Amino acid sequence: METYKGIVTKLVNTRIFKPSVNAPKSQELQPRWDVEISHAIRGELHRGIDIWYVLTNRTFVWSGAVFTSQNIPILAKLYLVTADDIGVNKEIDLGAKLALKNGLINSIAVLINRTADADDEHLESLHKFLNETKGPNTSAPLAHTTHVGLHYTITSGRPVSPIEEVKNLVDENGYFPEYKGLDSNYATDSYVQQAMRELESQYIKFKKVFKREPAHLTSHHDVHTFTYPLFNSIHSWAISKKIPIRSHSFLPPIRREFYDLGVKLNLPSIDTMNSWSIKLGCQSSTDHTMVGHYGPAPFLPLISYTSVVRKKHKTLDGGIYDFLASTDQTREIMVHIIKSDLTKKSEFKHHYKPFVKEYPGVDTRYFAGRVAEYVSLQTRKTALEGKLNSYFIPFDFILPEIRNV
Amino acid sequence: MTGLIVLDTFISLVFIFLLYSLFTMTLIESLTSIFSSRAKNLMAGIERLLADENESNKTNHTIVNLFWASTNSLLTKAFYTHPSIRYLGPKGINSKPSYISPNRFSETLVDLLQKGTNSNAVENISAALGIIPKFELGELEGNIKELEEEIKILKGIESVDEFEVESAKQELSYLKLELDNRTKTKNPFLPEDFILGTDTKYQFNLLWNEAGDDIEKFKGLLEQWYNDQMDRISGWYKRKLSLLTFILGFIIACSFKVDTIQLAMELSKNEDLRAIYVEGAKDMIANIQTVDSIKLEENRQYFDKKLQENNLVFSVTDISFKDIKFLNWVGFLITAFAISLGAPFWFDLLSKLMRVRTSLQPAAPSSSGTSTSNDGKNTKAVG
Repeated sequence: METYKGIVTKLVNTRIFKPSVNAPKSQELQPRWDVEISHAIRGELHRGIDIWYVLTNRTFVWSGAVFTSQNIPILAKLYLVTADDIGVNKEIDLGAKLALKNGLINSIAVLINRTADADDEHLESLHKFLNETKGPNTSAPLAHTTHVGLHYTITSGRPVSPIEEVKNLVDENGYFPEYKGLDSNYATDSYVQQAMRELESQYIKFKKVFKREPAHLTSHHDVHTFTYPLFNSIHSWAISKKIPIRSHSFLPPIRREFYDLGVKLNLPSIDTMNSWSIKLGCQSSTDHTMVGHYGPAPFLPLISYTSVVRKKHKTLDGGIYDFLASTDQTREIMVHIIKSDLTKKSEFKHHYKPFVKEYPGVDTRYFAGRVAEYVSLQTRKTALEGKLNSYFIPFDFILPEIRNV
Repeated sequence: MTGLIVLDTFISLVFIFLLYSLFTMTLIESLTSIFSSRAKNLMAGIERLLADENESNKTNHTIVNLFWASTNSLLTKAFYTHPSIRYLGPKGINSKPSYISPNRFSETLVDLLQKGTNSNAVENISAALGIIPKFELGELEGNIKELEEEIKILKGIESVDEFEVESAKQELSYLKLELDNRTKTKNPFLPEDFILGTDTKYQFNLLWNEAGDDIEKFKGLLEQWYNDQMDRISGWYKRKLSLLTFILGFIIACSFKVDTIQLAMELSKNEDLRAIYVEGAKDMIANIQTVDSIKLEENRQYFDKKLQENNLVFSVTDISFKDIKFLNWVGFLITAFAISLGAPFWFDLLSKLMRVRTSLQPAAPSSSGTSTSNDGKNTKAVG
């Protein structure tokens, strides 16, 4: 990465965490000192200048106090905040709708195979909501500003395709197995062909409901990364359809290990997938995906919401700082949210028994975590709103490129 | 005796002034320590920084300030009520600190200014300085009430969309959280209707504008401003102490009838008296390196010892109170002035005079015969 030389012209402080004059101070730079600049970003407007240099030591310095004869690139910093698993549960959808309306998220990954939704009534209502609801601080409907992506699944609910066409992928009751049921068969041609058939069906249904191409492709339980044939086929398909896929490079290591223990096959490592991805020439939806907002894992107890939410805020702050200090221009923050008044795991288990029966494959043990994630985003937004020097400077969502069909 | 009557008289006078200065210094140190005069002087200085002309207490700029300090300025009161300042001093009557570091000063002041109902520290400072209006919580409370009513109505409608109700509830929770956050940051040290004085606000505005919304820089500028003031504050303290020393010196001079004019006349006539003082001075110079090395208690002991050794009493002249004339008053005033110059001054002068006196003293007559005979005592006889 190219770096640029600069000379300090005024006594100035370097800042950490955010490009703001009131961010924590790192070091005092004396006039005539040399600095090494990585890139420039937009930050807090100070004395009429909102350009801040990011130094190679990952600190921010106000550009008004540094002279450079070189043209330093000003990098835009854009966010994609995606809520997964939308479309199959009322409370999860309600959480997503509220989060979209209040500008907490700008992207949803939709599971298209809701049970007992014969005429796609529920999904249609979601589409209607996006078209009829205005986003925050804009007169445009949410449909214009929201990335609506396909959350492909072969590990939850029932297939969209006729059962006889995907019979290898379902059990005797016509349900997809849980991710734990996946084995080495999913590397065989017949299984992969059926998985692709189902992908095509879900894709067609998505287009029928939302009248547009999916803005991105993700998969439930990251199933598209479980075997090479699945990885290869799904990525090739996405490339042919020009649909960006969420990068596999930032999959949560703990969750990956957890899956590895559960499934009856050896999951490929990130490095292995990276080499496959280079061969295929894959296009990711963003430069980086932040997965740290997830947790604690479903099998771990959630004792205090306050401490979990604080931890999530810390993760968000750290991730945003890392993003601003890096040369990445886009970053996705992956979230799982639900709007529920329940808080205890046991309450969720009891309350969602019928849902699990109807739509197996969504782990209700993590619903408490979803509440925590929702509260985290909601309170972070409140804490930042109206503040001159929020951590979300510059907080711009990536605008979707809508390809209507 | 050297025979230099004038020099010895002068040395005697200087020695007496030194002794009385030491005595006064001891008294002043005790008084300033009992009344925490430094802390009171510091309070006067801080009040001068934080209060407008009409708010500042005039007595804080007189000698009374060494024993008593008060302020009418709300900001100064709030400054001293702030826990980071309040707990610097001891518990009790004289609870104010006698020293506040520049860093502590700026941190406390910024904390006082950044508290408020606006949404963040920068906005609160701007509001305190009158750049933007203060946020009225009443408006927010009204909005919350309205929304609560709206939700009640919505819930009463049968065909209402759940999203609409949840959306309103969400908005309500935002508003409540906002109210909670803004209430939490309300200033506990200053009344809600507090407004900075015009001059103080102007000065703060200058610094705030120079800082350009940078709180860290603002603190730095406040520290600089405080440091400048501190130089002056120590000057004020010295001047107040000098005046107190003069007053105490005058009281002592009157009480002990130390009339410099009378004393000088007596000393010039009385060789024995001169001899006592000159010997005392010699002894003092030989035993003490600097006057600063004499501690408070040692001062007192030394002074008592010298008076006893030299058979002196406090009253060095023999004037009856009934017979005090104008010239005696002048003599007392000269003594008071001399005492106000301080013990270090008289000690230095005495050291110099003693050196002059030693250099002027005639050499002792030498005797070669004695020397030879002394040598001979240790020489073995040969032959």
